[in-house]
Amino acid sequence: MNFVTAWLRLELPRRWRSVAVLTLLIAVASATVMAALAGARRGASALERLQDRTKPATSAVFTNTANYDWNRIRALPEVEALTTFVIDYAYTFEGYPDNTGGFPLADAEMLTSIETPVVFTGRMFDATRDDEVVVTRRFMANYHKHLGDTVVLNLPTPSELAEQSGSGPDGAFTGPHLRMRIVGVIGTPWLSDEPGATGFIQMSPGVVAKHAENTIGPANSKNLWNFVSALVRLRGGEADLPQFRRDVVRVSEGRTDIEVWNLPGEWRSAQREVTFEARCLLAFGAAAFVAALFLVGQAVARYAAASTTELRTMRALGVTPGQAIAAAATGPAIAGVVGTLLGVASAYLVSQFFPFGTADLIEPAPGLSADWLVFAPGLVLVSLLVCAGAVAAAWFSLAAARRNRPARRSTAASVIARWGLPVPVIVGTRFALEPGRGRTAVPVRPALIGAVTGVLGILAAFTFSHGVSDVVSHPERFGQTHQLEAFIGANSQDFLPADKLLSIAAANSDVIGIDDARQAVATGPGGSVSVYSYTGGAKAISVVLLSGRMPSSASEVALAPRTLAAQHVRVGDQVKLSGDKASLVYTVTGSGLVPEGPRNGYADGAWIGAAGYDAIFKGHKFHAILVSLRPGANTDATIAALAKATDRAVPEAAGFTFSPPDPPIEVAEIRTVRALPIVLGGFLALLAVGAVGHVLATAVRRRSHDVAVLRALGMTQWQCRWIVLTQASVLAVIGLLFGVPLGVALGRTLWRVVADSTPLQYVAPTAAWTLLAVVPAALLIANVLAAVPGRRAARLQISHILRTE
Amino acid sequence: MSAVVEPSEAVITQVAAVRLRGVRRTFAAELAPVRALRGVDLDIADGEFLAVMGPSGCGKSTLLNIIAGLDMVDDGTVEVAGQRIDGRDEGWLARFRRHHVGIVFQFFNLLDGVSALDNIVLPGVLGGMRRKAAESRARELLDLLGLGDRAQQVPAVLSGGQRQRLAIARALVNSPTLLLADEPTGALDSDGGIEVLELFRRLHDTGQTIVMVTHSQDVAAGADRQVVLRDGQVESDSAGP
Ligand SMILES: Nc1ncnc2c1ncn2[C@@H]1O[C@H](COP(=O)(O)OP(=O)(O)OP(=O)(O)O)[C@@H](O)[C@H]1O
Ligand SMILES: [Mg+2]
Repeated sequence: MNFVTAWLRLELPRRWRSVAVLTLLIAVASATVMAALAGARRGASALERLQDRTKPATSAVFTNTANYDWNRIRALPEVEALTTFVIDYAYTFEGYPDNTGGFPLADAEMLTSIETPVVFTGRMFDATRDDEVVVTRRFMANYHKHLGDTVVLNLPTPSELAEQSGSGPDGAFTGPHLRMRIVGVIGTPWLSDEPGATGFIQMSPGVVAKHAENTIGPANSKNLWNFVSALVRLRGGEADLPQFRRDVVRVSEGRTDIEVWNLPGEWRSAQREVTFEARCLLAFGAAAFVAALFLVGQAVARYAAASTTELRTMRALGVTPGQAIAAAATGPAIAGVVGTLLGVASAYLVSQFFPFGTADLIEPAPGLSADWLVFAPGLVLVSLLVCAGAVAAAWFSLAAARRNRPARRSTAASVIARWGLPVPVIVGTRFALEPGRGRTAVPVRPALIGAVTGVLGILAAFTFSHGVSDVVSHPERFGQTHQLEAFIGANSQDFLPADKLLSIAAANSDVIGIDDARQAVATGPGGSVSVYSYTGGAKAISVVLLSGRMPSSASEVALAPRTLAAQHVRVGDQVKLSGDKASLVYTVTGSGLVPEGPRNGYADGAWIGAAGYDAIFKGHKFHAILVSLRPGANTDATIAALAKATDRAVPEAAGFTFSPPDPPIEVAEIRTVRALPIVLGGFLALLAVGAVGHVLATAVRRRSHDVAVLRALGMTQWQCRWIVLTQASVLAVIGLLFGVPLGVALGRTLWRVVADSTPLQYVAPTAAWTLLAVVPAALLIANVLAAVPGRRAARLQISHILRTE
Repeated sequence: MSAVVEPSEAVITQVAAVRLRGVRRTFAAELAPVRALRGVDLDIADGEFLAVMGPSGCGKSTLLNIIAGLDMVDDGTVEVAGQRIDGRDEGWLARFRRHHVGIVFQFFNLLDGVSALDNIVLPGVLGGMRRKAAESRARELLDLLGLGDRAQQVPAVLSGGQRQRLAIARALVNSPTLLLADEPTGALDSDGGIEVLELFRRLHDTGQTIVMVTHSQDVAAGADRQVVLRDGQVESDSAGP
């Protein structure tokens, strides 16, 4: 039996509480970090894992004509599989919103050879039956349904179908009523829930097979609404798309109006969303790791330092420095290993709540998940870190003891002593700032660092979170600087007179900016660019510029940040853009956000002045008027006023209105990560409370002799409490002094990193309420923490303590 | 070289238990360096009971620490139990202490919250005993020192004299060549002091070499030989120069 085991046999029964607290601290910290990392990895890979299991479609093809013969496309060599579905809105599921049903499937290919679903529970429907449906996970959760429950499908009569409206009471469809059983819960990339949606029902292709007249319409009918469209899986994936597009035109008698969607392109933007969420989780994990390093580190250091005071005596009895270090480090090392094991277990349990946000909707394997690529290295790394930290702490405190320096005296504490403050305040300040020596030594720096880290973490978290809230309520941060818009033309044809509507808008006093935005696609050296025409002038709409300025001459362009990167140019460079009319070399004057369009996000695109636009384009893909309003203007009233003015001045535009734009999709994305910084702040505050609480408790225990001597010299019990309260308050004040400015700076820096990478307009966030509340809150918490040690200080058995030492 | 030459457990008899030659020790201090020992020559024979006396600050504790290998000399040589201990590293000194030096402190320095028995067992285990053997040795010592019925009690409930006897038992567990005591009676009342002194005398009768620092003339009188230090040098030695 060696010394270290013998020492532990004595040590653990005496200090099991400290070991337990340390174990829990390590468990909480490591669970948080590992859960965040595993969650991030899981979210980031969700789409890919879903695709791997589901033979996803490469393209959706819309001919928008009746009786198209899909066999022509099915026969193309690049087509691996094809399935048809009906663009059908004329049916309802009784008791559910209109958009609850997925498009009726027109054959059984879907869900077998293409878009084969992940079946979460139950089974796939029988494709020959008209009484079975499958649903999404969201649907089950939202409507509290179970397998075997039924839903009722109301189909239209053929004439109702032609009318696209029901003839029954409240416009109900009076065709077949089908009672259908929920037989399974499924998901595929195409059939997955959208953020914010309530889930949907996918009926079996048996419905269309048995009720074609009520879904597609009577055969050979010429004026059908419900066209059959197709999902196509190409052998070569996205690379085959250009060939496929040419072949579609070729086999369709040269028709160029057939829409061929690029689904992998759509997934890329979905992937951007989940990547963003994953990055946020990663950042959260990293921040939690740093915080844990500080706070767990100091708890380990305190524990090891406490052991070394006794071990110094043991050294006189023949304990070698190596043995002393091993003995001091073993307690924390045990806590490290057990704590990390608990942490892995907790991270595993917590994994059922991951991934979250968009990734949760496409996760093919929800529920518990053990990510051993995170857990195994985490287990090893955290245990090693704790052991190394404990060894280092023991070594340092033994070395410090050997050097036997006189106790460090705090200048601040000496100054306060000179001010003639009450004795308890002076003693409390000394307790907070001076470590003391020998058996009564209490490391003060870790406590100070703990207090600063806690305040810093809270401030940084809330400052960052304030940035998130600001963005959620300000669509202009994403470049959406207009509050009203109107689509007035497409494919080079205007339905409404642009100049008249522009002058009506300009005449309204609430309108401060107008853009006559024509949009067309140009080709640059790095691919296609959605170009918007910029009106400029006195009533120009404001554009969010990340750098540079807006174009002011016909040969200038401002590019959105992702387009800048894609075209490999910088502000000040020249870029050649080709439209359907001509090519021109433009000078890039700035980097600015653009309006979101059907085929472009706010960070992809370009602004060119009207003259510069006309130089390369004959017409437009679409034409919109963007209007920004004076801050505080009533949007609805302005819409009404503009509608009234239009009715009067432009009779052919009767009924026309401006409408508010949809908020950028990124707002919803960012909203999903809003809670993270707050959770992180809470985590930091919790660790800080633990650290400071532990220090206060230790200080009273270690310095009970000093307190007892003071009591013997005539200090009252209340004054003893004051000592601890002062100590706590001094820690809080120092935490605030350093934590507040550092926290604000850190929060802003992190927010700027997010703003630059999203990208979005950076506005320095200021968490005013937090700044106001943090001072009283920190002082209050510190004093609450001081209550129990304070009472212990007041109730010390003086005679006993003075006799012992 | 210290890494190769392990401390020998054998005591080479016929030589002095302690042999100091020209020992100097200076401490750096804020104002001026403190010369705690300024050239001490001292021989202590095997089985001797020596009392070291002198005014406060004359270097008694420093001398004891140097013999124990807890402090290093700046100059001079230190031989204990026939082995040079100056210039050794910490690990060597620690292993050396296990078998050759037992130390008793003025303020006991017992482990709080650990039973009297375990306070003795731990250094026994450290000295290489098996736990069972260490336990029976500890009980033997507790009986010898009159603490047989206190084995399971923690130091906090013992009286000062009892605590010091416990500390002495702890120092003796590995049968050290040399028992060092720095003011062992300093924290005790006169009854406690007499208790400890009588114990030392009994140990001395069994052949234990003892070096004891004390302020008290009465306690020193109980020893065979008295050495007085002043300003870091030997001022007088009852055994003659
Ligand atoms: N670690 C140290 N650092 C600085 N000075 C020291 C140190 N240890 C001892 N001294 C100084 O060396 C001198 C001798 O100290 P020492 O402890 O040996 O005296 P002492 O004879 O034991 O005194 P006392 O009877 O009061 O215990 C004193 O002046 C003391 O201040
Ligand atoms: Mg002394």
